[in-house]
This record gives sequence, C-alpha cells and structure tokens, in this order.
Amino acid sequence: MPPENAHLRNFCIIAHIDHGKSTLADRLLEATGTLSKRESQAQFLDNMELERERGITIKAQSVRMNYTAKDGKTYVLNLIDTPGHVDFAYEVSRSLAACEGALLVVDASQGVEAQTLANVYMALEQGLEVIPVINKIDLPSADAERTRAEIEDVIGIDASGALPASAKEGIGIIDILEAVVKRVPPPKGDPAAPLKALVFDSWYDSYRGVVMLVRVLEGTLRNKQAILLFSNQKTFEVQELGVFSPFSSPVSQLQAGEVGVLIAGVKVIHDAKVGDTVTEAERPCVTPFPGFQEVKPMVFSGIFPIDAGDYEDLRDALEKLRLNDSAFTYEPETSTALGFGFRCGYLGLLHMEIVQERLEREYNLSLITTAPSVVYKVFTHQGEQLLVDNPARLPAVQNIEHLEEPLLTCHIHVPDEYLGGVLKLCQDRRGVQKDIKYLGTSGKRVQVTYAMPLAEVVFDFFDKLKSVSRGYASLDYELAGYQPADLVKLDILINGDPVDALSVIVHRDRAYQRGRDVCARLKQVIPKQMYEVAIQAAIGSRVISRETISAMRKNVLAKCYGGDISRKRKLLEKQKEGKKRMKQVGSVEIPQEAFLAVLRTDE
Amino acid sequence: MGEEAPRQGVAARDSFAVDALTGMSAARRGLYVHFPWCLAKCPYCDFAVAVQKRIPEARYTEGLLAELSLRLAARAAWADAPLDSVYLGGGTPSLWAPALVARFLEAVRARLPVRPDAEVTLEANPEVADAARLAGYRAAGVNRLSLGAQSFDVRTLRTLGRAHAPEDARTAVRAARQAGFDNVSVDLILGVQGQSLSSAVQDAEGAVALGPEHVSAYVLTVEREALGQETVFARRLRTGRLQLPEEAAVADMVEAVTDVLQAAGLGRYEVSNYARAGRHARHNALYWTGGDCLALGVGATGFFRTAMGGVRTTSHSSPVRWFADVEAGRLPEAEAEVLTDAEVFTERLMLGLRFTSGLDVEALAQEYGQPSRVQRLQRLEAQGLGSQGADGRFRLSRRGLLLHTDVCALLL
Repeated sequence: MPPENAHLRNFCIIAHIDHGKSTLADRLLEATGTLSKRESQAQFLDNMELERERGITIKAQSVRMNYTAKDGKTYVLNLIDTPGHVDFAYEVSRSLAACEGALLVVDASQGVEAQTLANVYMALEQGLEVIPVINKIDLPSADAERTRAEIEDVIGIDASGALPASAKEGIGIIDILEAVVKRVPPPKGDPAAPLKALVFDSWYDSYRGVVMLVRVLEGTLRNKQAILLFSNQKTFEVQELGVFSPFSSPVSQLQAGEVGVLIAGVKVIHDAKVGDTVTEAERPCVTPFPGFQEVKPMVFSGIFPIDAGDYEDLRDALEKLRLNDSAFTYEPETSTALGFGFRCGYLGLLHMEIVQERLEREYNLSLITTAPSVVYKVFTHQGEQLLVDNPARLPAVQNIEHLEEPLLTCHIHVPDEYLGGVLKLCQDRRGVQKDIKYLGTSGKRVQVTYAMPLAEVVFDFFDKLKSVSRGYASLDYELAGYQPADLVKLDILINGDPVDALSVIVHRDRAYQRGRDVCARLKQVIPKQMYEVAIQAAIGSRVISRETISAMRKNVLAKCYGGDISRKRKLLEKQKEGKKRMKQVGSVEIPQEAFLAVLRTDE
Repeated sequence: MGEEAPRQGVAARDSFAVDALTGMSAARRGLYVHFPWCLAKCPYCDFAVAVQKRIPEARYTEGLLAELSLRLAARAAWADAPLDSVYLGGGTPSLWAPALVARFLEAVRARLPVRPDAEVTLEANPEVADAARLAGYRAAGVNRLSLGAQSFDVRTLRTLGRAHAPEDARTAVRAARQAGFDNVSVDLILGVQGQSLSSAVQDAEGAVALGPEHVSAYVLTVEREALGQETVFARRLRTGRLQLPEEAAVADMVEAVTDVLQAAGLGRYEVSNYARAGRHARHNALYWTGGDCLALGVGATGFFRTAMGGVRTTSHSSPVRWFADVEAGRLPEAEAEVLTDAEVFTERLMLGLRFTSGLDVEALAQEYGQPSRVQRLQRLEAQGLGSQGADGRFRLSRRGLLLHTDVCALLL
C-alpha cells in the first residue's frame, strides 16, 4: 500500500432514523476541532432546513477531519454521510462504496432496526470494516449488554469490541475516533494508475454549476485535467477540487484514497449521476466502478397550482428542483378537473413529500397534489404493452387484456408481541409471506419477508405499520419485478361529473371498500356548499358508493351595526383568502386535502 | 313560501334622503351614544357593558358632553350638516335618568344642528321601562323606542339569562303607547338552546300581538370569531355545555318567523329586520348605506367618509379608561382604523345586500372603480340566490339572505 495513504481513513455512519447519527457526527467534528461548539449549529451535516426539521438526511455530505491519535500521529478522517431513508437506498450503496469502514450506531434502548440491518448487510457485502457503537447509554432504558448480544445475534458480527457512547452527552467520542484509526483500513489504490473516481453525490450550485463528491479509487485528479464521465462518455475540464473541513477549501489534487469535491463545468445534474465513474480523457481506465444504476422514479403524482396563474412559477420551481435532484422527474399534465399541471415522479413517498414541501415552502406556491400512483404495465388486446403512471390515462376497460403491477420484497422487523398485527396488515395489503424467522437467540425479534404490491405500500402502509407495532416495526424493501393483478380504475364523481384527478387504480376485491372510504372521507373534507353535493364512487359506469353533502342553509351574521362592520369585513376577507386555497371543480369548491383523501382511510 | 315583493320602504312623506344604490331612505348623518351599564350582563352579549350597583350617570352625562366637544374640536365637519338621527344604545340606556337624557339631548342640540324630525331612538329593557320613565324620555325628545323583549317564552328568557318575564314586555309596550311613542320596535332572539320551531313562531306571534311598528329578529350569534369579544355562551359552546339548534332548524325558524311577521304587515327590509311601511330604522339604515356616524361613549364606534375611503374609530370599552381620557381632555380613542376605498367598497357591498330592496352592484362597482360583477350575479341568479331587478338592483332571495356571507364572499 502506498505510504501516502497510511494516514487516511474513509468511513461513514450507519444508523436508524433517530438513533443519533447527526448528533454523533457533530461530536466527532467538535472533538477533532473541525468545528467549534458554537459553530455546530446543532447537527451540522444536515444542512437543509427540511432535513433538520424532520431529523433525516436526504443529501449525503462529506467532511474532512484532522485527528491526532494516541499514537502521536495525525490522521485525516473523511466522514461520509449517508442518506437515512429507504427511498434513497441506492445513494446509500454509493456512499458506502466510497468508504473502508462504517460506524454502526445502534440505540441502546431500541436495538437493531430493519433499515439499519439492510445498510449493514450492504456495508458487509462491500467489505467495509463495521464498528458497532452502542449509543444513548445515558438513557435510563439503555441496555448495552442486551444491545451487544442483539448485534451479534441479529447481524452476525463480532460485537465484543462495540463501543458504548452517548453522542448527546459526549461520552465515548475519543474511543470512537481511536477505533476508526486502528480498525478501519487505510484506502488502497495507486496514485500513478489511470484515474478511476466514483461520484457518490452531486448537486447543483447556482454559482458553480454541478458539484460532485467523489472518492478517488485509482490515480490522481488534478486541476485543469480533462476528465471523462463513463456513463455518457462526455468530457469536461476540472475547474476546482476541494475538501470540506467543514467548509469548502480548495486543493490542487485528489489522489487515490482521497475524498473531495470536483467541479468541472458540468451544467446539468443528469450529466453527473450518482454512481458514475470519472476517469481521465487521455488515459481512461478500462472498466468503470461497478454497480452504476440509472435511478428511476417509482411513484408518480400530479402537482397542480391552485391558482392557474401560478403555472409558470410552478414550472420554474420544478426546473430548479430538478437541477438538484436527478431522481425527480416531471412532465406537463392536463387534468379536466385541475387544469394545467405536472406529472411528477419520485423515488418513494418520503421523496414525494419532501418535493411538495419544498415547492410550497421555498417557492411559496399553493398546490394540489393528487394521490400517488405506481407504474402499471398495461397489455392491450392489440398486443401493445403500455406503461401507465396516471389512472386518468388508463385505456378503456374493453381494450385491456390484462394489467401488471410492480411488486416489492418487504423485510419487516418487529418485536414478536406485535407480530400478529403486522401479519394481518400485510395480509390485508395483498402480501404473500415468503419467510418468517426469529432473529438471534432472544426469541423476541422477528423478521418477516413479504412479497407485496408497491401500490399497497404506497397507500399509507408505513403509517399503519407503525401504528400496529406502536412504532417498533421497521421496514426495508426492494423492487421485485411485476406480476399480473386484477385491477380496476375507481372513479370519483362529484355532482355527476367524474373528477379525473381523484381516480385511482385499485384491486377489484378492495374497490368497494375503497370507494366507500373515499366517499366518506370526501364528505368530511369538502365543506358544505350553497347547494347539495353528491359524491359517488364508480367502476366504469357502475356506481358503487354514494355520499351526500347537504346544502348549507344559513351563513349570515344576524347583527351588523357600527362596531360589527370592520370585524365582519375582515371575516369576509379571510373567507375570500380561504377560497383561494380551494379548487373550483365544476360548481363545487374542493379543498386541497380532498385530493389526497383517496390515499388515507380510517380503518 | 313565496318571495315577498321588494319593499320600497320609502313613505310618501319621508323626508330622509334616499340612498340611490339601495333605494332605502336613511339618515346620512347620525349620532350614536353608548350607555354601557346593565343590571346584569347577559351571557350572549358582546357589547361594551359594565355592571355596577351605582351607575355614575350624572358624571357620564357630563363626560359624554366633554367627549362631544373633543370630537367637534378634532373634526369641525361634524357641525356642517344636521343630524338626521340619534341612537341611544347600550348596555341598558333605559337605566339613564330621563332628566339626564333631556339635559344631554338639549346640549347636543345646542352644539350641533339637528333636524326637527330627526329619528331619536332609545333602547329599553322591559324590566326598566315603567310609564313615568318612558314619558320622561318622550318629553326629552326621544321618539322611537327599541324594546329588548327577546322572547315570550319563560324557558327561552331563562336560557338567555334575561331578568324580565314575558308579561314585562307587554306592560312596557302599553306604557310606551301611553307615553306617546308611536314608533316602537321589539327585539327577538332566535336559535336559542332548547328553542323549537313552534316556540320561535309563538315568539313572533307574541311580538305581533304587541302591535309594534318594527321588529328585529336576530339569530343568536355565539361563535367567538363572529363577535367582538368573549362571551359566556361562546365558552360554553366550545366546552360543549351549550347545544344550539341545528343550522337547518334555525334556518326554518327564520323562514317561519318571517312568514308570521310579514303576514302581520311587518315587511322584511333587512336580514333581521321587519317594519310597517315607512317605519324602518333610519339610523340603522345609515350603517348599511355607509353614512357618517358620530359616536360618543364607552366602547362606541363611529365612522366618517374621507376622500380616500373612510375612518372608523372605537373608544375605550373600559369605563375607567374612558373617564380618565375625557376628563383629562383627551379623545378616548382605543383605535382609529383608516379604510381604503376598496375596503369601503367591500363594506357597502356586504351591507347593501342585507336589504331586501337590493343593491345596485354594478353602479357600486363603477363608483369604486371595481370590475363588473355581472357574470357572478348571473351565476347567483341561476342558483336562485337572488335576482336582478329592472331598477338595476340585485336582491337576495330568502335563501340568499340566509347565505348572505357566502354570497358576499363570491362577489368580492
């Protein structure tokens, strides 16, 4: 191994949401003097407002720390952050590929969760050194020994060297840094070899264009170098190289083993996809780093401005969002009910919620989002095969030979006392059990594996899973192809007119129940109008459910004299503002939330 | 229930100015005087009210006159045109000694021009409306009496926390007639907890039996956000200790009461108000036609038009603060709200549509440089909420009057 790399350590942190990853990262930055306590605006690595609020990490980051170990030598430690949600599993795998080691943070009172497990397996597969850290040992409910046993039992790695810690209280931080130095191997790679670097994150910066985070595997990245991106064979010139410590500072080169920032005049994020390999144009490497995937959206929904006049603003906002999010797609969509809008694609439900929140918050737009849909395969009698991500675009029943829907393999971890509820939920969601096994020797934790339609998981499955397990169940899943299914389009009619934006594709066996639920739900969220409103659910021309919102009879202020007038005027102005958040569909005013009502049930 | 013919509301002898947009004769300039004291505070009341054993009525009378001087000094234009109306409201102004009312009205006439046939109204509670007192008010120049009967059903009165018995209202009206009042109004409250359609109808019949010139039938308003301040009822409603009749049941009460009153010759001229021909309240019509109102007293709200829109002032609702200000020679103003033309437009729209005579919406829009509402009016007409008359006025139907708020929101 080249001696230049002996002082380098690249590692990441694997943790379940809430198990303290961000807090631990902050403590490491403080302990190495990379960031003062004052600067560490609690949880430095989560640098988006939304991420901080939700306590999750969406975009990976990387920070270089200098650490003088007990052996007297100074080491450069690169902490590579990983996204913490199942929607971003691919990004996680790329971040792991940039590391030689991983800290596995497990909450001393909660134990190992499914998402953690999935990521640990991924890390082990890629040959990372995994160092277990038992966090939150300061909590009264902490049980370090049991957690240690569980890590061995459940994950099957040696946890005798697990480090007890409390990131919140700053306990065990130095031990963790020492373990990184001693146990994580220094990176391999020959600085003289042809360049091979892995893009493990990229984003758009409005001043500098596309910024890539790269791990150099072989060779050396230099300023002014002509580089080639493997997936699209495009060449660019290196304009700037840098590291985060924690704020960006320029360097003249990055060589094998190092992690840093690469800016090369790339204008669009789609030219710098996560997982791609960077090589030298003059002297390219023979094979790219394996495992590159084009990330494709799995879930789609319509986004429409409440005020048609905001359409251009929405388009601009989507364009900007897409600059920074290569997994997000959009294309124009026209709805008879909602007018002009966009059909947007996301990695999963969380991704969808994040996009919507950012649009509303950062771009100050009032939007209507339609219920999410998965991509169905439609086989017609004419022998065509279509991909349909929008119920409104489903061909007429008589033209459909059969339909196929995407399937997931779901791994659910749950304490055995909640197993019954979880099994019933999976059954209700058309799941087919593939495996059930007790983890470890305690006999208390179970992993069940189900094949389940993606559409069922999209449809508030995660909330329900949390509620039947009091929050203890955790979920991980991967795509498992398509399977034929008996699906129908459920239409919703308001005062006799079908509202295309409320249509959903559902399994025939559940259409009746779903129709009833949706009608009942809409009755709750649509306010009384000046006339009666009929809500119907229909399959084709057959109405399967109906609710009626009776007409409002009285809405008038009885007394309106001197002192009442200003107050009344303000109430009216408020009501008018409220109307702006409603969508006029035919003659009925429908509030935003109605369009998501088809998504939720009151089971 | 058929639609009533639009009321002209303007008697041949009517010498009050007619508002062109609504066709209603109304005071153009009025004086409102608030008398805040009551013997007890009613649980539904959101007015500025004070309950005190000994009412400082003499001091208050002088305070009102001091405030009048301050108001005239602040805005000389108040003396430019004669007052068309004076309204003594409360509180319970019938607790105000007739001699002091006389002194007050006399002093007003000495400082401001008041037309000889001005409408001078006093609100009276049945329990404090004896013959001698009423005669004193009449002699002082009060020519219209508004009597807070509220109901003729003992249970409803008890629920409302009213101190009087059904009989008291009858006695009071007789006393008013004896005192020479030929213009008497009776207030009713509808939609009270436990009230049924038939008891609401009986209340209307009870009011008719008194032979009043005018009836106000108000649906009980409880929701905090619609009121000026917190009330006992609002609190009870929130905590589930007050159950009001269903919205549809209340709407039925309004319709039934309207039928009873109209059959007795009391035509509906506003959402909650009914009168014999030519007997509608000129002072209240001032509020609904955007007239100027000089206001005096604790918690009183006044308004005047300006070139840019208007100004609405509200005085301190605490008697202590009010006294402190006026006695120190300061205007007792808690708030002065400057209204833009657009806000005045909104008010004229929402208030004008309260009249059954309708509102010339297009003329109003033109006057305020607002876009035409023709299409929206047509939509409302198609929905049976109102109709466009040959006189250019848009009149809400009975159903439209009950949905007045939604109609206005649609037209804004």
